[in-house]
Amino acid sequence: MENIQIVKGPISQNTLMEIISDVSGNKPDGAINVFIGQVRADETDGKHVTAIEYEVHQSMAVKELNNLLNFITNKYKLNRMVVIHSEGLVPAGKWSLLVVSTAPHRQQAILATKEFIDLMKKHVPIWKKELFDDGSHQWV
Amino acid sequence: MPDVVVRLWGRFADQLGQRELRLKAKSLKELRETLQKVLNSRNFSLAINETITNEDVLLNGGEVVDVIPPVSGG
Repeated sequence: MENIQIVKGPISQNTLMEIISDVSGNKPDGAINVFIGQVRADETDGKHVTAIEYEVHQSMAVKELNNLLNFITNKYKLNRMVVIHSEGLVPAGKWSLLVVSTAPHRQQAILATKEFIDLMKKHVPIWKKELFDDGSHQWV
Repeated sequence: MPDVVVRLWGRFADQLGQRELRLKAKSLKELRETLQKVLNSRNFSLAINETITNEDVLLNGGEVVDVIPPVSGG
């Protein structure tokens, strides 16, 4: 399985199971940390978010995600990190991001996942458009 | 004056109703100033041939410049 993937639409539970299956069983690892990002039905001025549309600059995003993954893997001495991000429409309640980190100890895996997501939100060219139940939208 | 391809993303593509512009500019500084007027915003980065640069560079023509609004993945 590729460590970085951009997929069309929501991420399935099967994808998560495939990743877990892929990273499990590596004996030096004592921790597998899983982060799942799910589209939230936020309320703004009485309107509810029904979905988020993700726009991705594919080539730049994959390059930047790889750079971040290598940086974080080295910093926290991870054995593996897998990142899946959605592109296109993801309805509220569905998954748009998976980050799975494996390491000898839980602290490494948890901190690595958090820092990766923080950096991703600042540097990777992916944009979100919230779609509301009244037909309007806003970029966030 | 050199002709560059400007690709728009996210809110800027939405705002102008198109994903690509062709603009003339001698330098990235000049292109940035033009884009600030066209987009009515200073809140973007520019990437030349997919590398973000904050420096002023001369444009030869034929470059592809991406206008990168603030990112928000996840």
